[in-house]
Amino acid sequence: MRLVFLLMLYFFCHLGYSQKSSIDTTNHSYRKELEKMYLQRTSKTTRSFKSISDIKIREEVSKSYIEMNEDFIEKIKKGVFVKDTLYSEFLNEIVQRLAIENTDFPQIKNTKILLSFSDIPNAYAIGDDFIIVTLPLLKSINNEYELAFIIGHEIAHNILSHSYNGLLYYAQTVHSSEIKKQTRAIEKRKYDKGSYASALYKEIVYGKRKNSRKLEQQADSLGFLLYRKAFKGYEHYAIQSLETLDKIDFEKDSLTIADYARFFSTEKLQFKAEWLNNDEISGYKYDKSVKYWLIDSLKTHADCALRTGFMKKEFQIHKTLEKKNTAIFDSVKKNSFYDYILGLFVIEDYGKSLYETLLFLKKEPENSYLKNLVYFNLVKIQEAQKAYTLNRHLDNVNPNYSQSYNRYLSFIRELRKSELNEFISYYSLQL
Amino acid sequence: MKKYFTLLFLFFVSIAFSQVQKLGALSSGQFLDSAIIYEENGEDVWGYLLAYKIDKKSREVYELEYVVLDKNLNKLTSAKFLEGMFDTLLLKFKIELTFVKKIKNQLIIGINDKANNTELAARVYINHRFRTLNLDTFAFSKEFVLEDFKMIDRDYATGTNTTIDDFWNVQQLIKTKGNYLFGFATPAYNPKAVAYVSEQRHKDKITKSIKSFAVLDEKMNIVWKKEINAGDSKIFDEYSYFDSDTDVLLLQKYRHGTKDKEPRSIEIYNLHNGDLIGEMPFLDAKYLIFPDRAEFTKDNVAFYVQLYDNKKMLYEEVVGFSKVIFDKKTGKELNRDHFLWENFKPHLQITNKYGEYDKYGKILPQDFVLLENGNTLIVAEGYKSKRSSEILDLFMVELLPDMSIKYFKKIDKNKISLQNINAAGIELRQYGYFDFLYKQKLNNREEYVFFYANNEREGSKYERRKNPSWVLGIITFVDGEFNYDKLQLTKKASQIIPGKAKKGYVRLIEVGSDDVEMRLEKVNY
Repeated sequence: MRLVFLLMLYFFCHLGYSQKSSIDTTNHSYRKELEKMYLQRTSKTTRSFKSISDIKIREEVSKSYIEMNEDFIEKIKKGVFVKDTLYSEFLNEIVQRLAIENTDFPQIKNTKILLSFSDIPNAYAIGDDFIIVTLPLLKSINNEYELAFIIGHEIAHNILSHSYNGLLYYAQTVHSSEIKKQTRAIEKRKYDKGSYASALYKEIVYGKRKNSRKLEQQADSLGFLLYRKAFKGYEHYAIQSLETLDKIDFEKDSLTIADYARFFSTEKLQFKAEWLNNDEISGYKYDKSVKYWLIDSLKTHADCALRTGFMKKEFQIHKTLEKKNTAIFDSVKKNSFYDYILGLFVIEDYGKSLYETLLFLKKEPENSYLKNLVYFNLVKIQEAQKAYTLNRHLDNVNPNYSQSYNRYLSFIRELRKSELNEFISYYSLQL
Repeated sequence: MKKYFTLLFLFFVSIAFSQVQKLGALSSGQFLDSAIIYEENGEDVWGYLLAYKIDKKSREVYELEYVVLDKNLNKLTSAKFLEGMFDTLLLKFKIELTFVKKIKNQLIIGINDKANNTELAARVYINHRFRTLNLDTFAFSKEFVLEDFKMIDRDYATGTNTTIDDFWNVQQLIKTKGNYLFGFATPAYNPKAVAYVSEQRHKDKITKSIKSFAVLDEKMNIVWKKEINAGDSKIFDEYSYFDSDTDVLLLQKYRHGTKDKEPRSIEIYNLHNGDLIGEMPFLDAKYLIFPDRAEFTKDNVAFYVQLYDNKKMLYEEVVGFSKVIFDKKTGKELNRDHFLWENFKPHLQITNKYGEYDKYGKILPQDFVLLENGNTLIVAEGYKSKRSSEILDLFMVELLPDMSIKYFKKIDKNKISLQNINAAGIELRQYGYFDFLYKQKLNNREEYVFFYANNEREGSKYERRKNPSWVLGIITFVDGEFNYDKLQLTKKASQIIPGKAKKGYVRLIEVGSDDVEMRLEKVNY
């Protein structure tokens, strides 16, 4: 990680472009400050576990909570969460507006909203008044109202203590005398242990997921009420945000052969069409039939169509006011693209960072920030290949990925050592 | 991004609650076995099949699951079914995959029962049975066995027991490197007594009573069949599978009872129609010869054979090897060149004709690659046969078509001492004591990778065993040049186990204290 930061430091010291990342990826004081705040808040929650009378349930809840906290602190230390004035002001303003207009819920003002590097567009609440928003979410939404509803929804999760209640519900379920009795009976069986255990296991997991879907509906309802008070007249954006989320995984652009020919051709090494001839998916057929789990029963969230249907019916939402985006939103959205690809680099997802950078470079072929990111990602890919750890940083082809992404994944691995070296040299000259 | 892969528990997400973990463990599968599925031509990996034991339904009936993965480890399909297994009080068996062969849109999955808790374990493979998977519809067939090349369905239900009568006459199949399977007919003389007493005294009678062998397609139809051992002559042939490619089938033949000078040969058959194309008798004008292995090119098959200059073939008296090239179409011998250990002389100070050099030991080829230009790549290893034999360095050699040396390099390795194992080089190779692992094509050009493993820890035997430092040696032959690289396998918190993967890749299973990560890594060339 140290090397990454040194590289990035070098990277940004040498850039002076308007479309550059403003995020300081080496802000160790922010990490310390955040860790301290996180420990303060969670220790208070840990103390509250004393009120759980059943010792086994208390132990289970406590153990899971500690594990979650350890994972979270590790992320803080790794620099996954970042501080930046532009985003902080924008996100905090939404939270403040929700707090001011919803005085019935004073805890809203305690909300600490964290910005996270990630490869997935997402927002989530973890309890203790923490909400996490990922950078790719910011680049995917259409306006601040959509984001305001999403944040309202996450605040609702915190208000309703869903994180804690979820742990408690699950611990109570698996420690119920009935489940224990059934498990003991299964263990005693000579034959068919697997079938009986499997049925019971499914029952528990489906029950947990069903409960999750119920909690999501609660958060949609309360979240909407909070949002409506703060953003009166723009209620339909709540529905629009769910529609946006529904389409968030659709790839909006792709890399064509011409793009590769443009990006991977130098004086010494001309682009070779054979680099792209390695389709490893279309020769296979993949079985899509349900094998073990009922997919619908496994979902933690109901489908967006169901959620929008429920909201429209429950709250009689109709299309109301339209509003042009603010300058700050436009600025956030624009920067989020650059910071998203930087974030992918920082979290060592070099493959995706390079792919997204190349997609971006199509639109801004002279952008040196992007060319530099191409260079740094290629260097990291080369290092990983030498160490035989490339698969930790570059996805493997997968039938669930787009054709464009799979082609890219094959392409990178198709390059020989000498060819990769040549492209690294080429992009190093662009620094 | 990481493809975490737990070999023991396939299905269940990790959940912190112990009660659920217990249920998850009870209801999930126990890893049984895995097999690599090759493309029809045998050159590249097509995918993998993993077998799990899901449940025990009755004393001899289990619920199994097969999971089929593509060459990038993506799941293609899976299915569960009941499977019977032979079991006795004296011998404990387990189910294992015999082979998995892809032919057109079918996978043919062979399984057998293997005794695993006696000294005989390595030899008891019984109850050979099969299932096919249609790769278009993902339909698994019923299980079946073959008797005299006829399919007999097997059905299992809770409570089914398997007896010796159920499998005594079933045939075992061998996967060829072409689009076919190969098998010998059930011997007409097949006394069950050999299950309890030494097979040796019945051996000739059994061999003589095998009246045919055949090549089968993916539907178990006979493509061609050859009758052998007609009548009750005292002269009879014992065949065994030697090798194959997409065009030819090589069978080793031993003619019993003959007065011929040499009763052994390798017959070359057209794999598609059974025509006998040619034969390579184990004869040479100057040496006794014994085939080591065959390598194939588009037009030719090259036999790499051991050369002996005495009347008896004593393993320690090999004087070199020969490359005997046959035309695959005509079956005619095209060329025969010898390479004697003495030919190493410009590079090694060979002190006798059996390959001794200095006080070092000897060199034994581990594998060969025949290039289209007639050159041969050889990976060889040094060894010293003594009370506790030693495995020494690795040698990469490229020979020109006339068997003169074009390239020679010694790669230093840490010496391995084999406690109380005094054996000849060929025996050490048979038992897998050498460090060389396998070779593989890197791509569709004539570029190859050779892998070996070595414990580089210095110090006492105890120290080397207690704190090993295993490395994977990676030798690539690219653009006509050799390159050398190493990957540390023993790490502070994990151990990496390398394995075969698709062309140009190596499969690494990294076992840590908390998880098992399987990943395909591109060979760095």
